[in-house]
Amino acid sequence: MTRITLPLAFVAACALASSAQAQTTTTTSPIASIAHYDGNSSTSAVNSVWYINKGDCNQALFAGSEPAYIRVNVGTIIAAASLPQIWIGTSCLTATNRSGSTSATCAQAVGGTAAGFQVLNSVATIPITALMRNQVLTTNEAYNICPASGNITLSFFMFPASASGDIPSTTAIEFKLTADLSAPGTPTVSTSAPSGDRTAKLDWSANPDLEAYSQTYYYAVPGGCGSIGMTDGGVGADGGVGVGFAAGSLPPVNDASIKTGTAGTNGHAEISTSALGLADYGDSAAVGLTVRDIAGNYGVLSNIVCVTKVQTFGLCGSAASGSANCPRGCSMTPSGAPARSHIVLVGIALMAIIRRRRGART
Amino acid sequence: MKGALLAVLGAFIVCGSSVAHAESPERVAIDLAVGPYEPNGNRQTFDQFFSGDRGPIFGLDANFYVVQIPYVGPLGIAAGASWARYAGKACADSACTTRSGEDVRYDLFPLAVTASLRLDSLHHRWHVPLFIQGNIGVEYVRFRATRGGARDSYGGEFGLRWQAQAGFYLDVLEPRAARALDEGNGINHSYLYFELRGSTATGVFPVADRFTWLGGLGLVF
Repeated sequence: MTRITLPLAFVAACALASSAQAQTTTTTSPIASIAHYDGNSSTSAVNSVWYINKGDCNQALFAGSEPAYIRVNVGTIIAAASLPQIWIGTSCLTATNRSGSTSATCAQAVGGTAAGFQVLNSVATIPITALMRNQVLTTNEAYNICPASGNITLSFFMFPASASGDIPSTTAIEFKLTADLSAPGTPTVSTSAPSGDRTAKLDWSANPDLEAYSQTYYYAVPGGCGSIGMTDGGVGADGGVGVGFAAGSLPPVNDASIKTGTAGTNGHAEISTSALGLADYGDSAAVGLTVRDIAGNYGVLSNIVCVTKVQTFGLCGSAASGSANCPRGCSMTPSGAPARSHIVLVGIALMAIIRRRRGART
Repeated sequence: MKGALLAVLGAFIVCGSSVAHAESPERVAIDLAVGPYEPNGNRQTFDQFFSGDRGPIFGLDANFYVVQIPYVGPLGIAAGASWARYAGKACADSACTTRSGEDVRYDLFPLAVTASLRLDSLHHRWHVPLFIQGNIGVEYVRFRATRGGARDSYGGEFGLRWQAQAGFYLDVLEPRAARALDEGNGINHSYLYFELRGSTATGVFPVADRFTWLGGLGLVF
């Protein structure tokens, strides 16, 4: 008898679900957005944890764009147009932790508007690039994070410029940022059957150090596979890693000659051949994959494979079906002719039911 | 063995008698079912890509009771929708001697309007928690064949649909819960059922299974 409890419980749950009240949750993070200079803004929030990436340390990688900023909602705690004190460290609301210099627990961001700090309409702007490169902090090597690797979580404290001594938490804003300073791992692309007509299916295996919440992207150079191994040295470099189209290089950015898009997260990428720039049978493209982690760090390109557009045959076009008979639209085949008489009979039966029902009412 | 079956049936009848209460009117029955589905017809084409693939098919049926026939049960009209998908790999040549990595999919959407008759007087008169139901009517099977994510072929075929169903009312096992569902949500009965189903629809591609079975859960409102 207990076996039947589950179905009945399911039935009851289905019935009660309709009366369930919708509930909402709110996020209390004071961070309004993170705008990266590589053009990807406000993309780094997952489960209320905000990330900044290695690219924020090095504008040369994506030269020509603007620096990265954090924008923080300050409400009424920080008066409009007045710059707050900004500290990074541990328990920086306590006066003793803010005293001293090189050995201090907390480091103060300095430089004012000249360094890019701003408060406007209850939103404070903090120049994260300068901060990570230790250009706006009081001397404290502990917070010179760009040369580091791995994940570093920074605690920020903001309070009015006139505040001193121990600061009550009710008059300050605290928030945390995680600096992810490591590039994600590199996938390995299988070279078996990377060809198709409308789509090319790439199977790839993840490097064990691929991070959670990462996204894989493909990069393709249409026009032949002779470009495999090509490196474009003119785009720039990051830490000595070549930028170009070759295995082990960072992928080129904003290069119109290269096709790119998402390639899934589960080890299988089904990429449209038109997206790869392949128009005719025999056209080919060199394709590589890379991973971008949740903080926005790019990994280097995988092995490069050659994808070719080839003719394939499905239900239509195979020898068994014959393309001439392939239906498009509603059809009533000769073999369906007997069904017409069935339809008439069933229609008569349904009419009879309805007439009987009407008769019962009158 | 026979004695044991009779004892179980007797127990259900005794338990069922405690279910008797002022039930709300029965107007609609909703069925959710799943089962194997292998379309018949031009099997050569189908088997070339999906040999051995038996679905499954998922179905949703709604029975609207129109007339209550004394000593028999409700007569009504039913509307049903189902879905089955088959997946394989495209051929790299027209003779299909080799395969490409490109996906081939074949979707079937059988839709039916049928007349239904449920024989449940055993339950209403003697509290035996069993019923049988028969349906017959028109089926329209919509199909869609895709290759590499783009549509190659689509269309629909008509046929005759029949269904024969045998069900077991769960109310008898937990009368209190059943009564609460009826009083609180208007659910008269919940039941598990087994169904035999067939269709005569056919076309260039196989679209319907001439004979299959499904199992499912139903609710009477």
